[in-house]
Amino acid sequence: MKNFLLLFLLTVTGACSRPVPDRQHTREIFNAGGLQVITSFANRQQQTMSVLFGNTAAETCALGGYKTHVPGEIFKLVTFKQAGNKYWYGSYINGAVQSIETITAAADAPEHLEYRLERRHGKGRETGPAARISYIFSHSPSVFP
Amino acid sequence: MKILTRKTGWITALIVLLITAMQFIGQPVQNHPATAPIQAPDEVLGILRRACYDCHSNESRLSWYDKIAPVSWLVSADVNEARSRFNLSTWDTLSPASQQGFLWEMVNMVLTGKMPLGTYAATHPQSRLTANDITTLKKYVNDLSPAVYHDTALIQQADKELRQSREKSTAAAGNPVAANGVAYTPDFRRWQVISTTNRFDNHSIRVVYGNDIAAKAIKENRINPFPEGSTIVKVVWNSIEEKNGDILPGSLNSVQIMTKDNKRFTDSKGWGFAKFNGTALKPYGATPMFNTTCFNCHKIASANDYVFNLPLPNNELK
Repeated sequence: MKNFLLLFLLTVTGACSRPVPDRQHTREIFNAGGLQVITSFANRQQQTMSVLFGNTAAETCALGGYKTHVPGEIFKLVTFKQAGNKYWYGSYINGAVQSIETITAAADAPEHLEYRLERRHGKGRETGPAARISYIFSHSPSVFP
Repeated sequence: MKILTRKTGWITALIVLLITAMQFIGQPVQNHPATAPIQAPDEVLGILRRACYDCHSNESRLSWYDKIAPVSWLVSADVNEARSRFNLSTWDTLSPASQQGFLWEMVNMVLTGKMPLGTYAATHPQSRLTANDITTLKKYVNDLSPAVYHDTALIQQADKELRQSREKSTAAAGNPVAANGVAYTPDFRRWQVISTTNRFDNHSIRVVYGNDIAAKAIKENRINPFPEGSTIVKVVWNSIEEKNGDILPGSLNSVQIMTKDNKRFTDSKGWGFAKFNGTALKPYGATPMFNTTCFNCHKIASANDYVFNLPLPNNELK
């Protein structure tokens, strides 16, 4: 009984001292899973901001003008909703994630690209995979030092 | 009774003597000639004269109490600090880019309630800006920064840099170090992207990275202050803008860094700043004093420990 009481007290005090996560004020960072930025772009009319990530093979492919694909290539386009930056009038910052699109090259036939839409909020993207792949690959890689 | 009166007399005389002596200490505000004053439409000049000129120009109008020490000391310190930031009486000696940058900073200082200073506005209520004043200033700065659609010069420069990047034909810039000791690091490309931004004031598009310490602090909402060792890197490209709303990255503008080192950067709340320009990564700032310039602008984001581009908290996501 004594042990049970002790265990009960420990559980209660433990629960009380654990900080309650404040979901309202928490900030989330998109987890690109180790992929690196290939480029970023935005459209002020559509109020979207996008970042195209990729693995090393994808980066090489992008630098080569997306002409040659190799097995294992992964591209991931994350599109955010545009938000005003309350600390700087003159700037927009990314808001909530609107969509995540992934393009991968098949291991046995890299010229065969697989398109996957992982998440989509709101209206949009009625175009098919081929059009989306073509759109994503129309973006030249950004110049890094 | 007589002794008490004599004592009070002595104390009063001493205070008067002390206050009189104080008047000879410190340099009062001097109004030097306005050699290159700002040129702007009358409605903009009217706002600047009413809200900014007393501190940010050589035409400070002081009240009688502003001239009496110790108040005069505080006023003098404020005016000297303000004029060192920018002086509207010598405005035209600044480059057009600097003028534009300061004007947008002014608007943002007003919008975030940092300017006019609360102490000044309390005794000079006419300096407070109305909604109409803010609309006028916003229109003025927007008109100064128009978008150039499909800018061929910018597109050609971007193509050239991309070609050089493909051919690896530019000499490696190495890891340059800014005058305040903050070094460039290429490691940021493996860090987490914390946000992306684009600006219509200086026409740029950016990707902002955080190292493990900074990213963890943001996710756990431990950002006031950011922990020691937090480093944030912002890569800035000049933006190519199209009529259909597209904003695309063009030539590399700069890589900007802020790193938390509380022992080294005691005057800027622990933040050491650096800016490396272009693909050559040329460090900005000839002396460590540039750190103050960066910090002064970042004061607008003091609520976020001076970091502008944090991802929005969940309750602000729409």
